[in-house]
Amino acid sequence: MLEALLSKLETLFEWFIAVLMVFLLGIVAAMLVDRHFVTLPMAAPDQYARIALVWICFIGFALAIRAGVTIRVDMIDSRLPEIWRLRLALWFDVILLVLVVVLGVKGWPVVQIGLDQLLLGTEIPAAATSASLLVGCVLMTIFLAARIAQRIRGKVPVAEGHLGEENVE
Amino acid sequence: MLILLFVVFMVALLIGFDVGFSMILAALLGILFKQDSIVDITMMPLSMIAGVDTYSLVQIPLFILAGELMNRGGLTQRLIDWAMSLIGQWKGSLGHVSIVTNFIMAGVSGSAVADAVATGKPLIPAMRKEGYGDGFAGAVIAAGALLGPIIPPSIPMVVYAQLSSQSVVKLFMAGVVPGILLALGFLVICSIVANVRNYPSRPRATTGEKVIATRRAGWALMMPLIILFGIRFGWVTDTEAAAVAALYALGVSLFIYKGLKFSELPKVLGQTARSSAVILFLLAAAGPFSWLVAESQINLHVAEIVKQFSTNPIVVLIVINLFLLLIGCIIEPLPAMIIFLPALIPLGQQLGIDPIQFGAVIVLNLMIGLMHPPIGLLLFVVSSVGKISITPVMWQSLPFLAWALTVLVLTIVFPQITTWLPNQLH
Repeated sequence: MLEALLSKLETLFEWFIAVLMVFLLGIVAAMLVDRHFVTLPMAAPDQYARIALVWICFIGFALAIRAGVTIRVDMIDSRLPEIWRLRLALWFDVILLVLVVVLGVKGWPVVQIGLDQLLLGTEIPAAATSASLLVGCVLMTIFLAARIAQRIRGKVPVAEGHLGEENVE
Repeated sequence: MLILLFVVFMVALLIGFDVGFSMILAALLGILFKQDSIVDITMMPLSMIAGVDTYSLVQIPLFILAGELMNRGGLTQRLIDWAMSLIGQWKGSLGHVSIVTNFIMAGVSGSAVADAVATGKPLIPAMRKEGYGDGFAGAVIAAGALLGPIIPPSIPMVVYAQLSSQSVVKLFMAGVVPGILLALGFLVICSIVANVRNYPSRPRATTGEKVIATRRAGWALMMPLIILFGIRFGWVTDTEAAAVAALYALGVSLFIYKGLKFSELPKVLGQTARSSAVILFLLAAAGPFSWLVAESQINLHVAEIVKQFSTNPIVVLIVINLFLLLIGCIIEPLPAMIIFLPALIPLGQQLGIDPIQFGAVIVLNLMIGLMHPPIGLLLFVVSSVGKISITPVMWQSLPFLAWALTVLVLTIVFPQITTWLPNQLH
């Protein structure tokens, strides 16, 4: 039941960042068209691109946490016995959860301040940017709490992979 | 106290805690234990958002998207077929084809891992079938993929530009000559190995076959040219070039080569956004971490230690490179850049090292880390893609690694290799 809900949430936000990618592509292409061919009725398009980028960053990272594909150095823990890796993974998730909650709580005042400020050249409040971290933290909190519960019940095998195709170096 | 926090940070990093959150953890502890003045923790979310809220970083997801579309849309396969028609008659030609294909792909994707996966899937089985050793098949793909982040566009160069406030375009151009040198050396190594081991060649393609292969690959071949010349002659900005590359790859994949279906697009876009987020989050985490670096004045300590060896820029560059090569044994390139550059960039400035040369050398150095054990990511990727043991790949990578290190030394000793082309830009 919980897993089904989490999967739906994951799918929903995957669609959200996919749409943001299309928006990002469109806005940058529009800037090129605007400069070389037709003057388009848009002010400060780079601000819109930046908003999309920041949302992609924090929501995308929450989804990466859910998929277990964030960047880690596994030189030591990959050599540990399975039981130690499980314990370590559990502790890592707990520390991550604490950090995410701290960031979320401290991110709220940033959003509040941003409600009273406008992004340069637009009518959009600065909170449109800063809310991305807050929403990302909420999403990470949900995913991490669920994973911790699953780890305690022994349903997540080991610290999940991280050196796969996600890595783009 | 702050030095102790760096120890905590390194321990967290090495025992496998998430790299970005290791930086955040260290910065948070730094704020909590700071005694002489009060810093509000609100500084952390603020600096994290500021770390990614930069227009020039928009090109990271767009270039990743371009590479992803190129691989899924059949452009890569056509490049392989084209290279095969031109140089298939050479002894051990599949090795050369890998290098040439990766060289062209490097002009679009900027991602070594994506290139290794794309070329490794078809070429490693083909090389094994023709009797190339498992190790060499993997090593040649890894070497070819190394060109991805060196030849423009390059994601690590964008990251360096962001951290050092340098021109992305100039850094892109700085990678061209080292990239060409690397590719030429790799081709020579392939020829030597093929002759010594008597690898087979293929029948020479007729002129008609070459024309057909070139026509089939024409759209794919134009892609890196559009990007390189577009940026070089100022038709497009670096970020716009990324959008043009992605749109071009999308159009060609959907309507011309028809290797990609509309129904696959949401998945491609979602995965691209997620992959990009993993990199962007590192830059976000670098925001508070940079505060810790500045507060602890660790850059001054590093500068003092390095200056004890010499104040000669070349010697200092060599010392920094030895340090980074060691770092490359334990930390992957992008995190290593984000962790150590805030300390190293001021050192380079103090000693009057050209920042463009400095950037190109550091990127080249850290990318070499992708090929050397124990965490040479490309070695793991090719062994996974080709389903081959990693040990022979490591051994067979040594000649390629040696040449890459030679090019690194050349770029240190002869700054013109990296600065000549950027200096032609006005």
